[in-house]
Amino acid sequence: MTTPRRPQRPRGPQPPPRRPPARTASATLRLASPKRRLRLATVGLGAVFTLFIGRLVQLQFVDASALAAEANVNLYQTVSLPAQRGTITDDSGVVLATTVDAYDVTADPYMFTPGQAHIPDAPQRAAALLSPLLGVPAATLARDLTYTGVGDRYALLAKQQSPQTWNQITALENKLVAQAWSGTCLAENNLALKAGDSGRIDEDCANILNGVFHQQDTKRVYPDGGLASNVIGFVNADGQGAGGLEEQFNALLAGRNGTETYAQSGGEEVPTAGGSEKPAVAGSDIRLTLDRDIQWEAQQAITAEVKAAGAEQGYVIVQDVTDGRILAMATAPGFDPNDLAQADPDNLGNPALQDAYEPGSVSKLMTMAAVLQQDVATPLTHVTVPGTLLRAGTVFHDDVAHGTEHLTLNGVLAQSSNIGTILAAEQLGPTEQQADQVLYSYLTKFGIGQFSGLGFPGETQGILAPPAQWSGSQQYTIPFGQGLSVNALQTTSVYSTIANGGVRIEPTLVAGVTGPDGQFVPAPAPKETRVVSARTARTLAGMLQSVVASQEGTGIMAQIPGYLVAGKTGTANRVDPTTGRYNGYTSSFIGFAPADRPRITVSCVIQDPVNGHFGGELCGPVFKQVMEFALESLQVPPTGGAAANLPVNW
Amino acid sequence: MVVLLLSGGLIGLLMLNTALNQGSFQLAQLQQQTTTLTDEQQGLQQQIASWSAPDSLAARARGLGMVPGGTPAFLEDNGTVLGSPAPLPPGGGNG
Repeated sequence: MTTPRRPQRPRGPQPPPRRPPARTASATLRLASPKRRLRLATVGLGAVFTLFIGRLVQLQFVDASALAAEANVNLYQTVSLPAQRGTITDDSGVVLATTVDAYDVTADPYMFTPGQAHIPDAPQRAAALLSPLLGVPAATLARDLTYTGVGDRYALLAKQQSPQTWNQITALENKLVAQAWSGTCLAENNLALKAGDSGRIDEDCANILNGVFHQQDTKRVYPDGGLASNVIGFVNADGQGAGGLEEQFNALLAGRNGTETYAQSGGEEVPTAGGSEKPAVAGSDIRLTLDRDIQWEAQQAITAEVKAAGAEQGYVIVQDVTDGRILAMATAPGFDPNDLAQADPDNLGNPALQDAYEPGSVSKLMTMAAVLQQDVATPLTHVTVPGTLLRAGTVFHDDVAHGTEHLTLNGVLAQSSNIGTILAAEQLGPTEQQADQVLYSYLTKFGIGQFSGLGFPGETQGILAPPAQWSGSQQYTIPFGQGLSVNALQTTSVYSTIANGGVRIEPTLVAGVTGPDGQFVPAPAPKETRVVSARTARTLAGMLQSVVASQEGTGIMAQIPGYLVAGKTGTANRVDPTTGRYNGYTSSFIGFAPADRPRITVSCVIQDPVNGHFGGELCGPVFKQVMEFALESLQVPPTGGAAANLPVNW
Repeated sequence: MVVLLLSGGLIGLLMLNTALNQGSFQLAQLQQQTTTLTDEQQGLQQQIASWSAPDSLAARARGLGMVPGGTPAFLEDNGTVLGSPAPLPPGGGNG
């Protein structure tokens, strides 16, 4: 608008100014046609607006959806909302595994270079400060903090530190900051900043923790350390269950992560722009049937005995007779799930369920159950037991050499005579094949050769061949517990079955689950099956008393003053897992108390002991210690009943 | 009139912004507080757990001169004794 006038100003001195004469002499000056100008402007403007409108149409209608999608990619940010992993508690609610907040301490090594930190040895100094807090050797930290070249902007110094540790680091850094920006240091730091990479300051003036950061993380903690770690298992570095119940119930414990989507601009949430949130579903809490105190006592007892006997490993299982719940399942040696790095990988399993071994004499109870239930003998039946017995080309003998003995059937069990047991088992059928068939049916009903129903990862079902495949000698060894394999829970369950009046209750390890809604859902009632009659079970309980109470019995070390105890020793030849040949022993004792009104079954198994090998000697004291503790914990008083006192000899 | 409308709108916008910011400040502060309190609670819980763990309880009991109970015996309301109570040998149960 001013352009036409501007050239006139410098030419100011020109005498005839254009405008005043223009007013008077308009007729003489020829103006350009305004119509043409207007038309030109209109066309020009029209063209411009058409372009605008075209672009608008293109943006709003033609490319709209594609552009909107492209914008949304940047506008909407989706973050994952991690679900809280459920806890694992014992039967009374004591927490055995839980998840807590933790921080990963990280650093930017670039910020520790002399150019950035303004001192030459920042990594070493920072490492010396952090090492006691993080529990990582200073040399390792210094190496992590040393800048190795372009792109080295991240170092993970320590994973899953407690909030307290991070607070200590923050406090330390705050102190350094205060020091660096006060007094003479303030001036030094300002000078160094101006000097850039070449600036240097006094070591005491540097905030060497400036490049230390933290990331949110979670950590699985097991407050009681190695307590029941064989059952509970552990989680891997990603927090996913990788062993034991943590693995078996991983999906249930983990819950479901949620997502949150929000509009963002420059990293900040845009208010009122809307967004969507799919909340996380917290993991469920699992309540076990284990009793923490009994578990602890069992673990103490078996750990001490395995050590004293120089054994490879040992297991103790405590089961409630009346409902099949497992009160304790301890193994030794164990591991601390809080410190997997230090754990021996061989000890991370749960051999009480995963190790199949030949049970030996504890298995004679099933043979006796079959003999009594089939009515082919009574506890008082006379058995003449020779010193040796030839069957299928094999000479069988008893653990302790003897001449011909006159034992009752009760005495055969009390003294754990292999020969007597073979003779009794032969009575089960008119032919050996039929007798095998009958024995097999009882073993199966007792749960041998079958999974326990726990569904525990890596659980073994043991080995029990069908009778048609029993070899010549196997048909004589199976009655006394060699030539078949079981896990410790299977044999425990056999004794609980007899203790429970002949009804087998499937063992359970999980009492119930508390879902994200806070509702506790008890586990379904376990399956119950009758194996032998109540009368047979009562008779067997009486016979098992002789094992412990009789002076000729093998289990006298399991006696508990004031209580009637029923139990059976086992001293089996063990198959060496590496060579597959018999080498060493499996020593065991399984029993229940009170014998006349059973409440608790305790089993103890010790594999490959070096100092001693008799089941009664090694496992008897363990049984006694754990049983006494369990009776006390569960407040089971003695019944005051009379001992069965069945005769051993005739 | 127009000036009034404009300045009114401007002030309104300012107040809306302030309110939103205030809310987000408060949110951040409360979130921070929640984190701190959660951390504290978890820390204390872990401390309790470590004190009440069977291992440390047993060690403390032993430190006080206590010994494991050994064979249990029960005293009924009417004075009857169930079981065979016996004094423990010095230094521990299971004698």
